Amino acid sequence: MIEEPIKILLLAAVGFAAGGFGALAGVGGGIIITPVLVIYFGVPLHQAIGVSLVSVIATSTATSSVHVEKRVTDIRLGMTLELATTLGAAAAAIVAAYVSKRALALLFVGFLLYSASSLVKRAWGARKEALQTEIPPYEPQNYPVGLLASLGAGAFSGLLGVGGGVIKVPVMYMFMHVPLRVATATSNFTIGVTAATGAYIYYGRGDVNVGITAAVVAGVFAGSLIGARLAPKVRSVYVLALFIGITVLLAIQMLYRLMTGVIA
Amino acid sequence: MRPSEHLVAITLKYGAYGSFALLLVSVALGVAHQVTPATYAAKAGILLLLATPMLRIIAALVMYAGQKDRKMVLVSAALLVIVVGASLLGVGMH
Repeated sequence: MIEEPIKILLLAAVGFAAGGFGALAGVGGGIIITPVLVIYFGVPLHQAIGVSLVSVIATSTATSSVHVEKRVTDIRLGMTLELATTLGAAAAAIVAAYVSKRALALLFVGFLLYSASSLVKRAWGARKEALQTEIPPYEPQNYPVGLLASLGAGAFSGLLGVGGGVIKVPVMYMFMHVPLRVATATSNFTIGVTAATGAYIYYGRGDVNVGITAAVVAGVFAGSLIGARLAPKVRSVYVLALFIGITVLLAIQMLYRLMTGVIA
Repeated sequence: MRPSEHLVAITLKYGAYGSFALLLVSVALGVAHQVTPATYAAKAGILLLLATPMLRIIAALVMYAGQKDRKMVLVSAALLVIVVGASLLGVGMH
């Protein structure tokens, strides 16, 4: 169950890079873990998704404790939305076992490209935007829209092992009128419980490979802690650009493997 | 920060650092070829990490009960039912 020493170190390095980039760019690094494990380590897709889910819990837990202490997280809003994200995640995690690998991989490629395009918009917007330090007073609006989007984000989490922040953050910001910084922190808070709900089912089904998960997640923890320290010193737009490049590259490689029948 | 909100923050913090420590031990033992203890440490670290979100909901439930916030007590309790339900489903599959 425990891998060879060199493989353990390589897996930890993948986790470290994903966690570090994620924290530097302010996005969940989980999205790059699944394709890297599938493409470069030959890990079966369902197991790679299981590893990614546990990684998402790690980043959420490590960074949320800080955001809750700084009172950036809206716990009430987060927990209300979690009612929908967990239902979506549980249902999708059960369904995932019956979905073909090809269909899942194709959906994953679509999600990678959607995430890349949403990050391009964010990088473009962040060019001149000053860092929002003060949180303006607000009252979340349009709960039905937020809950519906959360159900969808939860389903994506349970199906693909992602956090779903790329869906929740824009919805909270645009439709629920929550300030961007609060929306990001609150989304990050909710993805831990959401990913855990899916992960219980993956673990029970035997899709959480203990050896691979331990090495990757140890790296994710270390990467996100160091990345979070470095984040204020690095211009996020460059990191975002690099992250977008990696995401698109992984999408192309995964698509190529789908077309050549490597993922069947 | 209200002391009760602190409970949610420390649950997350101890869960994260405790699990990180166990996983680091597992990686070190794995690199040193100590397969059996590495597997135990890995399992313990992963299970602690999986349990942390659930413990965080319980911490919030205690926090809102202390504040007599009935709506949020209901939300936390309903959330706990969903999450415990999913974990029992997982245990059943295991």
